[in-house]
Amino acid sequence: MTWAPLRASPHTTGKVPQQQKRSLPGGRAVTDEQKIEVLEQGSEQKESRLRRLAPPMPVAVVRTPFVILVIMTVIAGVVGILVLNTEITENAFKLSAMRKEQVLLDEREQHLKQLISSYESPGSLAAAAAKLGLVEAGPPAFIVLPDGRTIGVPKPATGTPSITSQD
Amino acid sequence: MAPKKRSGIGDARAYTPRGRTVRDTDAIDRRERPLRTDTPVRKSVPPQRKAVSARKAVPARKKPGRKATPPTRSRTPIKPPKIVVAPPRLGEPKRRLRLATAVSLLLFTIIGLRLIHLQLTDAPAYAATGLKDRLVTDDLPAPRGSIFDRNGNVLVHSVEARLIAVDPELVKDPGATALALQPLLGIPASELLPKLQKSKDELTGKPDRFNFLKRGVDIEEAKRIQDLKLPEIIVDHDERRVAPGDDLAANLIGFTGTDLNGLGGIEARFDELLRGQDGKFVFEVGRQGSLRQAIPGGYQMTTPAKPGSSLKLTVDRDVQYMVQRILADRMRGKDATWAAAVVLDIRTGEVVAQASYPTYSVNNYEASKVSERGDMATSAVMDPGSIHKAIVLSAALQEGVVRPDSTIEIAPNIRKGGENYKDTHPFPSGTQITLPGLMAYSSNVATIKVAEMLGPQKLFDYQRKFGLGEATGIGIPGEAAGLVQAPENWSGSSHGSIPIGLGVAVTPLQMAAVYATVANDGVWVQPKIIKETVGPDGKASPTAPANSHRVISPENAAALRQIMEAVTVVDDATGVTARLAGYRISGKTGTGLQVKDGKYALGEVASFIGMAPADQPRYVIGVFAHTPGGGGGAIAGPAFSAMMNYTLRHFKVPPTSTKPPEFVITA
Repeated sequence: MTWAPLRASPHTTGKVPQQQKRSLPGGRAVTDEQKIEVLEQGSEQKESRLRRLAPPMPVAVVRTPFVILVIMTVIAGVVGILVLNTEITENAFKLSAMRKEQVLLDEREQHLKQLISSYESPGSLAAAAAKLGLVEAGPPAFIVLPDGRTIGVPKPATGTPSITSQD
Repeated sequence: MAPKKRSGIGDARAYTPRGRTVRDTDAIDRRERPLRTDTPVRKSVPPQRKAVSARKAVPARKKPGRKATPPTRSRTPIKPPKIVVAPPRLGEPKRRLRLATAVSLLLFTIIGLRLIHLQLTDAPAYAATGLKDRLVTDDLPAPRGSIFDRNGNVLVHSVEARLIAVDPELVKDPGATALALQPLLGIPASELLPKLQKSKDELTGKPDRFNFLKRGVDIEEAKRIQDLKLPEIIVDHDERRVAPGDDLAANLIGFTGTDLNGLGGIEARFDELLRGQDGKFVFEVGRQGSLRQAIPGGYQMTTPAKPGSSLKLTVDRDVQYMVQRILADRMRGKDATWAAAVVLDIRTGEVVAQASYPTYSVNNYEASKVSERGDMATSAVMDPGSIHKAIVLSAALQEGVVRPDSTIEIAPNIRKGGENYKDTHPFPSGTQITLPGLMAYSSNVATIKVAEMLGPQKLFDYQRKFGLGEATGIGIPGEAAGLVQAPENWSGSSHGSIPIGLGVAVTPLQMAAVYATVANDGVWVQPKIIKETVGPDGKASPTAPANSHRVISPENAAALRQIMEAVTVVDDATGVTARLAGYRISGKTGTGLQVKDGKYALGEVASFIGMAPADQPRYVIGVFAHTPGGGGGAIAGPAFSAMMNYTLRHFKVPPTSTKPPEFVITA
């Protein structure tokens, strides 16, 4: 049985020539005595060597959970991105709908504002007042403070109501 | 040659030593193999060829190879053929492989190069054409700025509207389309029809694809038109200028054309400022239907809209309305060709109201005449008449030529340069008239005498100081400068005519500013109408403060105010019609003339300019009217009184608590 040390250790370095001899092709250079010697020594050495060269105990890490974790992470990422994209798209639709609604509302607001401004323009107000039968007030009397003196004589309005007024 | 067609497959099948391939063992010569002569060869001949093959069995047999030796089904034993199998010409696999490799590599290289070409060189161009198909542009409308009154009430503003147009190329039945649109657009079908007919552009010869039918249509009306679902009808965004007051301050504001460009008044003068610049929202959209909207994360480019700035005028909407109404009511009865009224805040020079008669509707300006659209207060040029006497007296008082209590010896008339100037209220020769008497009875003779004492140069200087002969720069386009003559241009009669306001060209606004100077203790303030500009962000920036300069001293101004009060106080004075209960009024009537086509036009320009309260003036109102005949007292006085009444009440000016002095007319 020929084998080469996998790892050289300080203990084995001294026996290198022997090994070299042994490892000659065909084992021709090895005498019987040597063979016995080697075998004796070998069995001894082998035992100690086995002890020394025994690979470290494999770290028993269970791989499955890690793999599952990675897969789950990937799936979660993909699903997350999908959800995110869906959400963005959905919001874009909402945004677009809201923009349209805003335009409509803006137009409505403008329309109402326009109505208000036309109703509150002096001409419309005067017409509305005349329609209600109001007449223009004459010059008012003024009360001067703090002495309560009045300037002018308060008089009821004398204008004639519009003939188209209601009542 | 038959042997050449023989393939190596048969050999490969025939002999395959263990672990070696045909290639390794080199060609196998099957000639060495003993031929099976004992078994008949199966021949498979198609039935239709059977006869032929039967006849030609032997020659066919000579052809070696698969093709040549179809196994026949006939079991007739045949003679053992003398087969001479030529050694198969073996291919040169190495060469073939190399060639195939080269060809496939070449193909891949070409594909690769093409891909690189497409992806790197042409990609942007392709992407751009693709993008163009997906892009949609939304206009972001930038409305034109509004014009507000001094309290922020809208005088004119822009509202969102729609334009209705037609693509004549798509019209199938013009008659039906016209009839369908007629009630909705309010345009008779006969007017619509020509626009619906196919026509060609005169320059390019291409068919017209766009004809306006109506602009500024209400959104709701446009919706009704859209509901007709006529493919040829184009409905698009538009803007409409709306003046809620219709003719309120119309001559000041002016109007806009079809593309909302200012064509008159402040709209034209401040067009650049008011004009908005539409923005654009360019974005990528999905294909169709509900997906045809902005793609998130897609191409989006927004050019923000730049709305126009707004203007805040110094005009008060209510005063403007009343002044306009009073002016129109009074002038309609007097057959006036034009009339103007100006209300000035004397301290700031702000125009509180500026009315013109006749006026027009901003919302329907096309229906009006050009002559109705101008602002008469700044564009009408006239000879002021007696209202000019205030300038003469101001100058005389300031220069010390006369004192407030001076008297002037007058006669019923006076000759200057061959012209006879007479008084309307003649006094006997040698009457000593006081300055209040001069004003109350508007004595031409006394004024000419005062001007004589003052001298032409001084009078000219004061005319200029009071702002005559120069546009006020109020900010209304088409403002006239007027004209005052330098003394070197005076003729003999000028010494008589200019002091009484003939041969001087002024605008109503200039004259109102003169009286505002007297009211404002002698400081001339440039009239202004733009209070502030309001940016699109709502930030207001006041306009530059008005120019001002002192013309006469406060004492002289106060003295002149009191002198002019006689005009309304003295019982048979010219301006009694301008009296206002509760307030002391100081003012002056005038009867001027208007020059038209190089000569005085028929009729007179009646005017009254006054201030109230006389002891502490707040407002100056000038009323001018070109009527067939009639003095300032009769025509402009009552209008002034009504306007001043409203203005003082509107601004809550308390009545005058003091009594006017007793005026002495003659000494």
